[in-house]
Amino acid sequence: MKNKSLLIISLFLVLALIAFAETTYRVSGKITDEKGKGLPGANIVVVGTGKGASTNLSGEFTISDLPSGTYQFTVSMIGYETTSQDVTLVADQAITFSLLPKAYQSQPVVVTASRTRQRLQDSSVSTSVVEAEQIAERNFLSADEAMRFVGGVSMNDSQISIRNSTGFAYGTGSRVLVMVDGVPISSGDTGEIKWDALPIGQIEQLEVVKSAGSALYGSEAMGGVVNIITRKPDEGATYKISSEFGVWDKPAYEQWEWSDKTRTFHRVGIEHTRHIKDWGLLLSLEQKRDDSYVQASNFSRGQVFGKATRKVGESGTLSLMANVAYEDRGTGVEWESQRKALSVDPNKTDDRTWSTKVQVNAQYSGSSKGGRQLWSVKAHTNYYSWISRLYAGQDSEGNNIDDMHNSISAKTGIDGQLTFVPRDDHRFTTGAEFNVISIDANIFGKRDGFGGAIFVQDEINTFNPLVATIGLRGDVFHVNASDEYHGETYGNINPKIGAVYHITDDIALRSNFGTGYRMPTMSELFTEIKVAGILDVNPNPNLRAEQAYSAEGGFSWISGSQLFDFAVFSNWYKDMIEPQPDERIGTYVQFKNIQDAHIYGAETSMRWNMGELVEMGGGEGGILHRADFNFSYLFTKAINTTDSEKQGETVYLPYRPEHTLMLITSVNYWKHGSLAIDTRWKSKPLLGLYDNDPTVDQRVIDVTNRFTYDRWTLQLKVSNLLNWNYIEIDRNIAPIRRFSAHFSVNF
Amino acid sequence: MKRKIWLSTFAIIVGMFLLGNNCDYGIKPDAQSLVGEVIFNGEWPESATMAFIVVTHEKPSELILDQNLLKGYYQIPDYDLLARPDTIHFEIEMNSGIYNWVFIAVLDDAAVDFAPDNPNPLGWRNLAGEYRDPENPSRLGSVEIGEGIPQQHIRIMASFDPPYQGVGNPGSFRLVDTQEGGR
Repeated sequence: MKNKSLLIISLFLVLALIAFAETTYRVSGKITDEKGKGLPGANIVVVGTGKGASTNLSGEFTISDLPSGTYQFTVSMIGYETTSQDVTLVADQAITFSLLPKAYQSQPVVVTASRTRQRLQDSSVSTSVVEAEQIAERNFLSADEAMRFVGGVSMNDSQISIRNSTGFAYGTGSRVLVMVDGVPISSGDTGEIKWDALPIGQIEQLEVVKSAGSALYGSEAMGGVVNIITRKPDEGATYKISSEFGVWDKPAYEQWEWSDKTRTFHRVGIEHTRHIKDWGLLLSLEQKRDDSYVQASNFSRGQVFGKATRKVGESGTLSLMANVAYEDRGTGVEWESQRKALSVDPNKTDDRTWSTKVQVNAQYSGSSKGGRQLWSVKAHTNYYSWISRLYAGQDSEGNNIDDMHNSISAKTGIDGQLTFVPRDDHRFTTGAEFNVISIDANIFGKRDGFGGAIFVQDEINTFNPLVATIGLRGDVFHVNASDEYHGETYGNINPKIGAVYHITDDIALRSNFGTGYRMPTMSELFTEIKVAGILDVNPNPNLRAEQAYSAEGGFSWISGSQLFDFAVFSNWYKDMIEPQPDERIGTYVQFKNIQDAHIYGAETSMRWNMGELVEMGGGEGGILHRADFNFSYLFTKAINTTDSEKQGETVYLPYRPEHTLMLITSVNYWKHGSLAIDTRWKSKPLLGLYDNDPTVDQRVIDVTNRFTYDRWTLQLKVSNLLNWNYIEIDRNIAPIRRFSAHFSVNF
Repeated sequence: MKRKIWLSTFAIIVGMFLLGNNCDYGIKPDAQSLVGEVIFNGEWPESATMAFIVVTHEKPSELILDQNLLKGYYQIPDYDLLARPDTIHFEIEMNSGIYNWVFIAVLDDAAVDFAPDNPNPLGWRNLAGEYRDPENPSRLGSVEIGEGIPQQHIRIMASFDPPYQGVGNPGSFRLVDTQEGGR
C-alpha cells in the first residue's frame, strides 16, 4: 500500500514537471545597432521576473524557462537609448531589437526657459542641460556637486551663482530660483536652497537658465533658474539597492591633521517603483553618514522621497511628490587658523545644527484634443525647521556658554498656467501665482507675508525663420507689520523680449533683453545673530528691492548631440543687497542696498560626441565605443560701480571668479566600462570678510570609473585627484581628496 | 588615425593641467608667527569687555583706521580678560612682511556703540600699549616676519595707570565710515 502511494505521488510529480516544462518557452534573438550590426554586452531584462541576459560577441542572447504570458523586455546599453517592448509568449520566439545611439537622438527638449516644452535651440536665453546619464556616470553625492560641473554655474559653498550673479551670505538671499519639477524649493526664512534635501538619485534632467528669469518666474529668478526634473515611476515593478563607501585622504600637510581616526563616509539606499492599477509609484529611502575631512562638520542624514503619478482622462496627468529629509550636522563656521585649516576653535567643536526639511507638491496638467490648449495647476509647501547650538562665550569660571538659535518656516504656494495655441505660428501663455510665507524664529522674529503674480508671454513665429517672444510679469508681496516693524509692500513689473533666428535647421542666432528684481528675504530684513568671534549680524528693515537689467546675444549650432554655443551678456544691478562688514569692527555685518554693479562677459560651450570617430568595431571586440567632450569657458567681470564712481578705480565684487574653464569627458571602453574625467579651473576670487586671507585658483580633477554588467554596477571614484586646497568661502578649505566605491543592483 | 589624434589631444590637455599644478597643493599653512607677551601696569578698568593685540604695517599718518590696515590680531579670551591679568601671552599667525605698528586696544561697551551721539566712541583712549623699539623706547618698534627669519618674540608694556600715551598719535581719532568705504 505504501509503495503504491509513493508510486502515485512520484507519477504525479513527474506529470506535473512535464506539464510545467510544456508551458515554458525560450526567447532568443539579437540586439543590433541601427545599421543591423550586433551589439556585444547589451543587457536585456524581462521586467518583473528576475530573468535577463547579456549579448555575446555577435549581439545574440537567449533567455529560457519563461512560462506563457505577456512580458515586458527592456534592452539597454551604454551609449544607446534604452528601449522596451511587450511580447506575448505562446511558443519559443526569436526577437530582434535595434538600438539608437544617443549620438543620433534629437536635440534636448527643455521646459524651463519659456515655461513650455521647446527644443533647446528654440530658447532665446542661454540654457544648459544635464542628463541623468551624466549624473549617474559620475556618482555625485548631492545635487550641488552636480551643479559644480555645469558651465556658467559657480557654487560658493552651498550658495549657487549663475554667471556670477551671486556672492556669498551663508545661503541667504539666493538670486537663482531652484525648482523641483517646476516648483520652487527655497526656504521661507533665508531664501536659501537646501541642496542636501534634493533627491540626487531621482533626477531625470537638470535645466539651467542663465539669464534673468523674473519676467516668467518672479523675484527669486533675478540671476537665473535651475529646474530639477525628477524621473517618473517605471512601467514595471523594479527594485534598486545601492550603497557607497568612501574614505577621506589625509590632509596635504601634517600641520592640518586633526584626527588619528580614518575619516569615512557611507550611503545606503533602496528604491522601489511599480504600478498599482492606474497609479505609478516611486519610493526611495536613503541614509548617509560622513565623518568629514574638517572638524565639526560631520553629519548623518536620512531621506525619504516618494512620487505617484496617474493618467486622468485622455490627456491629463496627476502627480504627487513628497520629499522629507532629517539631518544632524556639525556647524564649524570657519577654520581655527591657516595653520590649523581643517580644525575649528576648540570651544566650537560641539556646535551643531539639527534640521528637518519637507517638500510636498501636487500637480495636474492636461491638454485639449489636438494639443491647442495646455493647462497646469501646481500647489506646494516647503516646511523647514532647524535648531543650532553655537558657542557664545565663557562665564566667569571659564565654562563655555552656548546660544540656541532656531527657525521654523513654511512657504506655501499655488500657481496655474494656460498655454493657448490659436495657430501654428502663435503660442500664448498666461498664468497666476499666489504664495504665503510664515516664519517663527528667534533670530528673525515672528514674521509672515503674502504675495501674488500674473504673467503673460506671447511667442510669435509668423516671420519664420524668426521666432519672437515678448512677456510681462507683475509681482507684489507684502511683509506684514509687527510690533517694531511698519510692514512693507514690494512690487514690480518685469518685461522681457527675445528673438531666435534660425539660419538653418542646425544654426540659430538668439538675443534677449529683460528686467529683473528681487525683494529682500526675511532673513536679510530681520536677522539678528551673534556667532562668537566671527559674525555679529544686525537687522535692516529698511532694505529696498534690487533691480536688474539683463541683455544677452548668442549663436548656437546643434546637430544631434554635437553642440557649439557662444554667448555675450551684460547685467546691470541697482541697489544690490550684499552683506556689508562694518569697517570699524570687521565682524559686524548688516545687509545693505549698497551697490550698483555691472556684470558682463562671454561664455562658450562645446560638446562633441565622437562615437563615429573613435569606434573600432565593437562587434569585433574593440576597446573604445564612444567619447564625449564637454568644454565650457566663462569670462566675467563683476564690478561694483558704486565704488568705482567714487574712487575712479575698478572694484570687484567678492566671491566672483573672473575665468572659469571646465572640461568634462567620458569614454566608453571594452564592453562594460566607462571612464569619466572632469576638470574644473576657476581663477581666484576676491574674498568677502577677510581681505588679507590667501586665495588660490580652483584646480579640481574628478575621475570616475564605472563597470556595468547585466543589472550590476560598480563605480570607483577619486574626487579632487590632485588634493588641491582651495577655498570657496572665507576660512573654509573646500573638500580635499577622497576615494569612494559605489555599488548598485537593479532587479 | 583620427582616434589617435583625439586621444592624444585629450591626453595633452589633462597632462598640461596636471603639470600646471607643479606638485603644489594650493593653500598651505602659513609658517610664520609673531609671539610675545603684554605686561600691564595699573588696575584694569572695570568697564573693559574686550581686548585685542593688533598688527598693522604702519601707524596711519592720517586720522583714520581702515580695516585694510589690519594684518593680524589676537583677541584675549574672555576667561583671561575676566581674570584681569598682569601678563598675557599671545601668538599671531602672520604673512611675510615688515610690521611697524603692533598695539593693544582695550574696549568697553561704549567703544563699540556707533551711534552718532555716543559721547565716548572708540578712540585713542582705547590704546593701552604699543610695541616700542627696545633700543630706543621713544620710537615704535618694527617686526619682520618671513621665511628663514627666526620666530619673532616681542614684549609690549601696557599701562592703565597712568593712561598710556601713544607714540605720535595723530591728533583725534576717526574711523572710516562704512557707507563711504564699503566694498
